Amino acid sequence: MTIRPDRLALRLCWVGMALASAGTGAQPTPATASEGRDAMPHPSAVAPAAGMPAPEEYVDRVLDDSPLPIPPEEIEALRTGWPRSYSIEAQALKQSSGAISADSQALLFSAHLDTPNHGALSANLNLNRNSTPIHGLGLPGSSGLPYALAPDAYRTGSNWRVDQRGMPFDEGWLGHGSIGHIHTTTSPLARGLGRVSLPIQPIEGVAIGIERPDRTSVNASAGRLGYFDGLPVPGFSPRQGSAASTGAQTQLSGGNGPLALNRTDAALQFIDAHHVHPNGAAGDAQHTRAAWAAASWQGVAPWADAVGHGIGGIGERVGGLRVQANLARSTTRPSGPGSLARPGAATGAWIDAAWRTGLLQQSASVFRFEPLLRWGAVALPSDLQGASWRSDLITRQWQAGAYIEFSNGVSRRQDASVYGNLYGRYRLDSRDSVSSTLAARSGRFAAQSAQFAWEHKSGWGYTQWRTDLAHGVNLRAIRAGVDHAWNVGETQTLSTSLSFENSRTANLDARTWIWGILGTTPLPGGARLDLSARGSHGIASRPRHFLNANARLAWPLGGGWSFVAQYAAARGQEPFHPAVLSALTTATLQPAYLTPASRTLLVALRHEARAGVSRAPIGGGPGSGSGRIEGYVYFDHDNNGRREASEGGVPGVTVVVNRRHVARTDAQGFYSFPAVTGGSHEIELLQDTMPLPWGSADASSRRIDVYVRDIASADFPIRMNR
Amino acid sequence: MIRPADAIRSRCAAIGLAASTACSLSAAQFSLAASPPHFELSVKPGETVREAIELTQGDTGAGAYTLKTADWIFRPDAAVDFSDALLPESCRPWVAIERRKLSLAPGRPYRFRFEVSPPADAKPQECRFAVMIEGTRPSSAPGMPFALGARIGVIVYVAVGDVAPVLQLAGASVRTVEGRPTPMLSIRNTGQAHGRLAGFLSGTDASGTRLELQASTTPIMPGETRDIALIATRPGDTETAVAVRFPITVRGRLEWGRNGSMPIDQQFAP
Repeated sequence: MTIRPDRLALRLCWVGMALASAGTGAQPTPATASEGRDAMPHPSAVAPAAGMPAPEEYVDRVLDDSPLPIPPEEIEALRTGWPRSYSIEAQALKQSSGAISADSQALLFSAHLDTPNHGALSANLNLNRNSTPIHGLGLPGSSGLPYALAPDAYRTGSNWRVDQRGMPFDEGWLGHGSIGHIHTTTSPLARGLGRVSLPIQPIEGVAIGIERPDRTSVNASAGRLGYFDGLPVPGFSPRQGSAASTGAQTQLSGGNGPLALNRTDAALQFIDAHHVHPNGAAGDAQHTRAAWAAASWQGVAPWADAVGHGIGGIGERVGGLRVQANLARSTTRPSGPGSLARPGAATGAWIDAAWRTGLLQQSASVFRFEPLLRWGAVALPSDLQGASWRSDLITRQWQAGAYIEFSNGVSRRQDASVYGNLYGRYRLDSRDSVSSTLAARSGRFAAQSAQFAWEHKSGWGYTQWRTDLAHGVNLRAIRAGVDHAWNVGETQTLSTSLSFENSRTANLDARTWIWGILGTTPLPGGARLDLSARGSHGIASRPRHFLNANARLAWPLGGGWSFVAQYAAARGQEPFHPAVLSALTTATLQPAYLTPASRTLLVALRHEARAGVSRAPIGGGPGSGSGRIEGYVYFDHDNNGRREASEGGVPGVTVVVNRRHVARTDAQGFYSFPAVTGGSHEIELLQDTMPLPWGSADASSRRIDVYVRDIASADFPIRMNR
Repeated sequence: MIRPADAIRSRCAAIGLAASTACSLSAAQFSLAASPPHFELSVKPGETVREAIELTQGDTGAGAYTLKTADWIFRPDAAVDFSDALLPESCRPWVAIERRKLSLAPGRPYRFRFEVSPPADAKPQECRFAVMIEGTRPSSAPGMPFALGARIGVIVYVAVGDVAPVLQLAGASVRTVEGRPTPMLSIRNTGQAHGRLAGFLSGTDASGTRLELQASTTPIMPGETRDIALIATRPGDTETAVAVRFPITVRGRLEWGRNGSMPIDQQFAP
């Protein structure tokens, strides 16, 4: 997670205290910024300067002697009642793809209310009206050009959900409920310790849960299957089939809290999916019933005497060990006599462990997935067995890691392969560091790749020189380039990227320039402009062109109103970074959809209002007003935690706050939660919504502090699994 | 590394219970954000540099503020004294601010402009001042028997002409910081601009434990000598400061400015 510098705003912590009746006798406390790297208010500046001359007021020169702009009408401070907010946004969008253009309108409404006895209630409703060919689909006519079948026809859609979170019951139990376009529920252990997690699935239905936080939880959900669509206008499209899921998790032994030793937890989850069309065709309709069981243990490793220092969970602390064993079984049968779906049963088992020894953070897994293993409407890794081990070292000077994976097919239809990866980054000083990644895989898809980088900080900014090489079956590629983050104004950012790739794929040569620019700047009137553009230009006999450009203007108008305009253009397929994938990563690959060339213009008008007073009871609970969380999820190609101009946003990633509230990134990787209660929140990127082989840079969930009526901006890098 | 949120908490905690209460209340009831928290600018004599502070009123109601410049002194204990009156060699006469009074509506950031115009014959120097933002009236909070008032200073450094820090090691000592003996480097700045140390050092304490030591980034003003704390952490855990068993031997290189660096090879003992 990265916090954008322009958002690292210095909050006016009203450290000064003065009795109102004391007048000037009580000196308000000065608070200063920037002394020390944290640039935080400095409370010890209360005392007047010793030995300073008697104050003689200096009158500053001013640039503008005009009368004060008419102050906006004083907004009555609604400081009574429960914390509450609403947001309503009207969007108009024009999208063109080839000869097809489509207009869409959307109305987005969200509201929340924190109650002391019934938890936090929230509602989200998105209504949209689209012309039929909204996805830019067309058929080639006699002219060879695409045409729209019914360009003037409109269809309406909606995407809505109502949530009740944290309803308190006796003895610390909390209840949760959701209805609308949501996801199937799972137990916390289903997110796994390693690289395989139990996927959740979008449904139009209902979900309920009850939990004693960090101890016991029970969940159930049911509904019609579907998928979220309509970037950037949110929507939900139902698909064939339905799913019902139920499960429970509880702590079996050990102390309280996530850092308790000798703690054992167990979980069970069932899912029943009816009349699912895995490939979108009726001919393969099937019923799938699946069950999953898991148990985890954490405590002192057998080779250690105690759990020592460190950050994170027990598995990330010296002497700590965390193990999780998973067992899944699915049964599939055709849903009718006309279905050609293959009946059968499959079992999957995988064990993951994480521990730390001194400087080394280690993890290992063994896995076996039989062919046709499924979870509801989604396929799990299939026909693969093997083992992997990973070790990482992080000091101020060194970052180094190694990963090795042995695997072969359960059905023997797949070859055995060995995948290895070595990574190292050495910090020469505070201005320079060098890094390298080497990867190789044996077997039928034998390949090798290497990356080298030198990062340098200077008065011009931050520069990275990078070279990527890859060699494999029908593949040879070399890419060299430079990324630079320029030192511009304190409230602006500007990054550029330029690289050249020479590749030979399937006996075809290609030479390509790849470029990017990324920046943000404030504008008059409180507006802010975000710009990003990435592209490639082929100069060989098989030229390939790619363009992805985006401009977003956000203009707060005052009084709770704001205006957003966004223009995006996309064409072609972005060149992939040369890299080698492991067999386990490949087994979990999801299909990639090519986005047709398109141009999109979106304008939106939003009104927000918030009010209420914090009434947080001792021991926590609902209610402390609300703020906003927003940011970008982006591909961190070079694993440095900074966003370079060549690093695009990741569309379609599901971002979850407190495991309950869901948002999806738009085509530029932007997500937003307009109303989040104040305090510390857990933000999680769902691994199974990320394009493989990408995953969260570190832990899949982070905590972020949200202040009432403030914007907490958090960007999330995702990285290719090393 | 001390995380910013921890820094807020630690700073607020340092001023005692009453002010801590104010801090927590500020998060709930009052919020003015000034971004960025400080400026480091440069300008040639005879030219003008212009910048803007983005102010965001986070409260549900509009807020009225007065704005002015102030000189400041960075005390040896890392506190800051502000002075409304001009201090000797103050550069505030070169500074112009947009206006002296301002009303801010919630939800709409305001870009407050200021500019610095050193005269053509100004000698190379670092111009330092603060833009002070003060609430014009104390605000009362529900549930609080008293009203709150505050002001905030956004620190501005302006390098006039070709100035740079020149940092030298002047000594080493051990001092108690927050109840813990801490190795300190005494750093002298003979340059014309403030400087900060960057980088880390390797150390071995009396128990033979290998440690990493990060130099505090406290600024060192031109002409002054300041003690800079070295915060010790264990390799692999840069988040948790650990107690040092003295004597400790520290080696490595610290950087400052654009190209400056200094070798460190010191033994610290109380």
